[in-house]
Order: sequence, then structure tokens, then C-alpha cells
Amino acid sequence: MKRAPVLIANRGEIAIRVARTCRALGFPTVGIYSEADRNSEHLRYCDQSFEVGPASPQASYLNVQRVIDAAHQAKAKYIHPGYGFLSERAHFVDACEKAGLVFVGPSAQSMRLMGDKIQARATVDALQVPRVPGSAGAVADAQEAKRIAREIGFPILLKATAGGGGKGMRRVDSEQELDSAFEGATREALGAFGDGALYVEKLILEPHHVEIQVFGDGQGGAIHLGERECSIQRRHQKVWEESPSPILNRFPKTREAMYEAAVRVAKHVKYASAGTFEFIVDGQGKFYFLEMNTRLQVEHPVTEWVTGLDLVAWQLLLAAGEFKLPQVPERRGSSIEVRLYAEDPHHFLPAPGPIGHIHLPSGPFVRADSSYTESGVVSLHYDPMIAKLSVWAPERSEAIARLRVALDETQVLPPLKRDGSAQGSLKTNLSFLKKLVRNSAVLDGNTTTDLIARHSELTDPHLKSEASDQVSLPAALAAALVHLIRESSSSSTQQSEDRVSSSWQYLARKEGVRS
Amino acid sequence: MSQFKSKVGPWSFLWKEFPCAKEGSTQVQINGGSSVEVHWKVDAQGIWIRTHEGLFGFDLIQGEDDSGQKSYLISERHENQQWTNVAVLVGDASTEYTGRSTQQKVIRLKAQMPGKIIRILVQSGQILVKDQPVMVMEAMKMENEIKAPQAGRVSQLQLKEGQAIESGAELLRIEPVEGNAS
Repeated sequence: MKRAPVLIANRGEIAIRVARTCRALGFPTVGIYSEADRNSEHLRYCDQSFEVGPASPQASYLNVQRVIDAAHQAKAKYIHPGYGFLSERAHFVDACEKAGLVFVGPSAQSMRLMGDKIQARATVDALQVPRVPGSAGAVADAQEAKRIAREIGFPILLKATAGGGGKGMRRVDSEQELDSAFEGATREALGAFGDGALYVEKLILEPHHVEIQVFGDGQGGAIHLGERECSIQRRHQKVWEESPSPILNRFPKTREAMYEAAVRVAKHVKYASAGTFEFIVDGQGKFYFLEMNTRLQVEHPVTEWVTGLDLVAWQLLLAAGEFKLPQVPERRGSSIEVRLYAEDPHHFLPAPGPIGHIHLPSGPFVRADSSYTESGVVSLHYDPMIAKLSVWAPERSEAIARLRVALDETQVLPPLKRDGSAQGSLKTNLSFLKKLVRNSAVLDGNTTTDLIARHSELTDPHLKSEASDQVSLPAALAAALVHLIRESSSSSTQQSEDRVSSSWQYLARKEGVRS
Repeated sequence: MSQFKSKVGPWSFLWKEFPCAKEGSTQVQINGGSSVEVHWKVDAQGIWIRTHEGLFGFDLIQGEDDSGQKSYLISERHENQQWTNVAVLVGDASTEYTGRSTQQKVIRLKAQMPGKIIRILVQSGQILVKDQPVMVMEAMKMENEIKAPQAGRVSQLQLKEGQAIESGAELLRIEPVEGNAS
């Protein structure tokens, strides 16, 4: 069937993932890119592509006018936003509509109702969905935060109203800490979102992060597609996501109640397309609504594994008016996804840089979503995620075993200079993920959100690897050989480094002319 | 012709031939005892070797530890095994090894990523305890507290608050203090 083109308003692995489904369904694909992304992998999956501005996301991927202009130039009918960037901006949905384009996702109206955290709280309160106690809205100052904290009891969380991803968030254990935490969180929120407003929330103990995937038809029909547990987080960002949820396996009634609540809200707001209700579940199986993500989630492959569905295909067909909501699909087996990041494995600070060699795993029921192939650069300008690795197996323990093998196969290494030292500042969390997949609490399903903090062996740099006096005979032989071979070759080839750098300059000039 | 020797951790090797090709094999005497045959193939990131124990792959990145001593980070391929700060000492059969540094450790604290210094919490000459916060840096829109990796005295602190810094830039040094070695 001949269909109208889809502009994919994103980059990286998600742009590739969306493009693959577009192509499978016969939608021509249109890519966009910033100046920093002219050579990016995602463009190779698009039939045509358009430059939309400088490297800074504000100037390019978030630049509504440039994105819409590109769609017009390409004669695209649909815009798929992926996740991040413009995916949850209601004003972008309005702009698409005004420009005669179909936004592949929820309406601006339901985005406003559910995407804004404070508005969403009012919506779910009206539907009697339980929610974590806290301030009704943004608090005026630290004094008001203090008053509310006294009412609901410490510990509390300060959160940015415009926030996400843990930015502008602080745990506060006592009244004394509140002033400085408030100041810090305000500054961080202002820097990250241009809006320093904060709200107060009670901190739940033994928390699990569990989310319900929903899909709505925009006419008031909606179904759930099971849950994902994403409790294992660092810096309040997910690093391990799985379905079914270990905590809900202990509280099956909670699971049903959460499904029912999520679908009730989705129907009420006439939600269209894929969306996720995030909940916190405590150690007793009580659940509280946190927020709704009005987009496709990073971790949607987990749901695709257990349902056998292609969520992007559903989104596209719904946008094209060819979708009828089916019954709730059966979920089978167990799936886990981990996120491989360019970051330090001990303190999780981003550590982007050039990749010299990457090898992603494969094999039965192993999926690697990535936009990095042979070599490339993890750009400083964007999210430092390198790949999402996901697996499926009939049982959770088998899925973990499969993931362990997949992670041991994985290699991501910086380019090496002649002397064997790393070029650039790339580090990855691979060694951390390898430890995580072997951690006893993870194996047992005791996946509370503070798991990483509780298990310092996961991040302690002094425990991260064996000391040099423990080195095995093969490793010692390897080190001696590599040392001698690299030493003997580096002395004779001092010149070639200059040549390499000048060909890069040559390439940069050539690319500059091409635009 | 004198034979080459090398020492890695608890292992000392006496090489029958100097290994310099990307691919090859030779006899090597281990810890002054028996000799074994080693086959190897070097690639861009490391090496595959076959010994009497089997086939093993390793990625090797050369770096410096905090005191400037050259060493390797070794990761075993298809395994969850890593060794840090593995120094390789070399020499020929009649001489001593070279490459070991005996000086006291001066830690050079470096920026892990590009960003901006928001607050500096210490002064030059100040004596720190381990894990004491030294500065707050903003990177990737997040504030991060940088802590002292060891106890000691602050020196070479030349940054200003608000200054932007590159990844790997030296922030300050921490010199060991008499009687306070960590």
C-alpha cells in the first residue's frame, strides 16, 4: 500500500527503531538532523533527511518551526516524535495541527491534562486514584515546603514541576536540610527546564517503581499492555526495566487494581496512542500514582517482548485511521532491558566521547537497539545512551542468564592511540551492568529503587575489579605481549598521528561545504 | 643475544624471542620454571592468546594511575573479569626491571566531564579528609559534588567559581601529608 511519509522528529536509536517499523508498514521515512549529526546512523534508515539547525537541541531538534518546515519540504503527513525532545510538548502538537500535519501520539488536550504533573494530579484525584501525599501544587518558598513537610512527615522529596529524569529533585530527611536543598533544587530546575518551581512529596519507603503501559484509541477506548518494573535506577534514572514486575508477582491483586486505575484514567481523558502511568508501589503492595508519560517510553521493548506486539506500528496505524483497539493481549514469559550508557560506572556521571570499537550482543531472544555501529562519537550535546539491550525467556531466571551472556559479549571501547592509551574520555557502565546482572538482590527480585545505594559493591571503585597482583596468567601474558608489541611499533610510527588529525580536518572542511 | 624478560603482577616471563609481530608464537618461561608455548593475535583493542590453558581474549587500555605511573586496564572478553592498574615491567635477562615508580602518591584530581565550576569548597594549602567535598560542578545540567579521593593537602588550585572546564582538566592536586598517609 502506498502511504504518506512520516517525519521522525528524533535522533539515535529511537529514530532508527521508528524508521524500521515505518518501512515495514510502507510509510516513507523522513529524517532530521542537527549540524552535529550530519553523519549519524539514523539518517541511513531514512529515505530523505533535512538539517534543522546547530548542535544545541534548542536550536535543532526542539526547533518547532524548522521541524515543521522540514515536514512540508518532504511532503510528510505524519510526525513521529519518538521520546524526549518534542514528544511531550503540547504546543508542538498544536503547531502540527495548524500546519496540517498528523502528530503520531496523544492529543494536545490530553497532553495538557496528563503531561503536566500538577494538572495530572488533579485529574487522577477526581477519579480517586491513590497518590503520594504532598503539596497541592508548586510551593511558594522553602517556608511553605517546611510547613507541608511537617504535616506529612519527613522524609520528603522536593521535585521540579517541569521536571523529569531526576533533575531538580532532592531528598530531604530533616527540617535543617530543607533550606539548602530547596535552593539547590530550584537552581537545578531553573537551569534544566527554565522553570524553578518545586513541589513537595512524601517519600515512600521500600519503594518499587512500576508502570502500566496503556494504549488508547482517542475515542474513549483504552487497554493496558501489562506492566514494567523499573525500580533499579541511578540518579533517579532507569537502568534496568523488566516485565512482569517482581513486586507485583507478590501482590497480584495490586497488579489488577493498577491496570484498572490506569485504564480508567486513560479512558477518561480519551487518551490516544501509547502512554505510561508511573506508580510507586511500597513493600506492602500499596500503590500510588506518580505521573503519566504521554509518549512512547525508552523501555517499550520490554512490553514488545512479552506481548509480541510492535507498539510503533499501533501508533502509526492509529494515526493513519486504520486501527481498531483489540482485547488486552496475553503476556508471555519474562523480559529485561538494560541501558548501556556512556558514563562512569562508579558515580554515573556522563562520560561521552569517541567510540573506537563496539560489539553488541546477538543470539536467540536478544535485542540490541542502538545507533552506534563500527565507530562513532557519543555526542556531548545529547543523551549519552549507547544502546538498549533486551532479552526474553519463559522465566525470569532464564532471562537473567541470557542477559548475563549478552552483557559479557558486549564491548564498547574508546579508540586507542599508538601507545595504547585511550583517545577521548569515553567510559561506559558496562562493568556495572555485568555486576548488576549477577547481584543477589536482583536475582531474588528484591528490586527496590534504592538497590544501587544499598549495594555499594556495585559501584565501589576499589571493588570494581581485581587488583593487579591477582592478575591471571593468561591476562599477564596478554599484558606483557601487548606492551612489548605496542612499544616496538609505536617508536617507528610517530609521524602518522599528524596525518590522521589532518584528514579529520579535511573531512570537517568537506562536510562544512556540503551543507 | 640477551633474552627479554617482563614482570606482570606475580608473574615473571622470560621470552625466547622478542614478540613484535601482530601475530605469532613463541616459548616463554614462567616464574623461572617450565616453558610454555604462546600463540597470539593482536587487534585494534587488545589481543587473543592461546596457551596450554586455552584461548583467551583481552582488551587493554593503557593509562596512568593517580601518581602518573603507566599501567593497563585489562578486560577479559566474554567474561566479567577486569583488572586495573596492571603495570608491565620490562628488562633484559642481565638487568633490573624499569618502570616502577617509588615516589609518594600525589593525586591529581581531574574533571570527569566538561562542565562549569559552581562552588569551590576548599582553599590551597588546606588539609582534607578522605571523601571531603572539594567543589560543586555543573555538568549535563546536573550538580555534582566532587569529593577528595584521599586525605592530604590541597595544592595547585587555580580555578575560579563560574569557570568552564574541559573533560580531563586538572582541578587540583592532593599531596600526601606526613603522618597522614591514607
